[in-house]
Amino acid sequence: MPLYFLTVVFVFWVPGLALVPVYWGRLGEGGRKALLAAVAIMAVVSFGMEYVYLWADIWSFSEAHDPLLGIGLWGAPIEEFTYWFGATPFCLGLYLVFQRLRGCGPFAAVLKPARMAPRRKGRRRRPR
Amino acid sequence: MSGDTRPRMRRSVSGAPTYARGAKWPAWFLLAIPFLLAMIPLFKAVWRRVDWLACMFTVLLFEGIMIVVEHNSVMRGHWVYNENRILGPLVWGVPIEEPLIYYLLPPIFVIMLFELLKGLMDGTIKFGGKQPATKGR
Repeated sequence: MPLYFLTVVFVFWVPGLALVPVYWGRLGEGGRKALLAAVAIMAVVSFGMEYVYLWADIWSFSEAHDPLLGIGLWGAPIEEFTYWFGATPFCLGLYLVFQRLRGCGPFAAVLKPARMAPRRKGRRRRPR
Repeated sequence: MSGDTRPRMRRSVSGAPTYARGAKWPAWFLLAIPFLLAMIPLFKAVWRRVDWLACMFTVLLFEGIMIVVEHNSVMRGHWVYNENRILGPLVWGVPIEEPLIYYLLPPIFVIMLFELLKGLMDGTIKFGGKQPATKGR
């Protein structure tokens, strides 16, 4: 069983995609574009970094326990890129969801609103 | 020094596969320095915009998830670290660089990058311009 690939899918991709509906609607057009641009930039950066790390011989891969999928890009198994490309949207998803959780539900006590709306200084209505 | 040639591996005391190849230098730690340097101007540009509490929770959750995932991955050989390229100390079988640097900095980097791009796209951040004193005011 390709456990490395499955681990990445279930740790990053499944929760990362599950978080999208929670924050996407509130992001606004600029926020959505920024998110997609950040994911794209990090994909390019991490793609390059993978080869820097492999060149520096920091790590290698063993198939003694679990096989790799067998697809490689210039010496790097495809699982590495599913890891790198999945981690960015997952982290941003967590950040945006934590931002949204401020002030609601059981998180209210911990995640207080960062910028509270100013109080209205109008007259209070008297109860009838 | 290429990822193409698989090194000869052995089992460490913990049972995880490991190997030692090449001259000893802490590449895994040193290669984080460019990241750190890139984060300084990024931090200056967006520190008022980032929701640091949400960022802290993101990092804590990411650290918590990753230490478990990486422990499992190291034990099963998904990642096999070169003993000659890491600092040496291990946290639950994981090189100390991971929880101290690589689970910590990349999420913060990504969040700051997102906030920078958001600011550039909505016009509240301009290249070479001063950041507004408070976001949204």
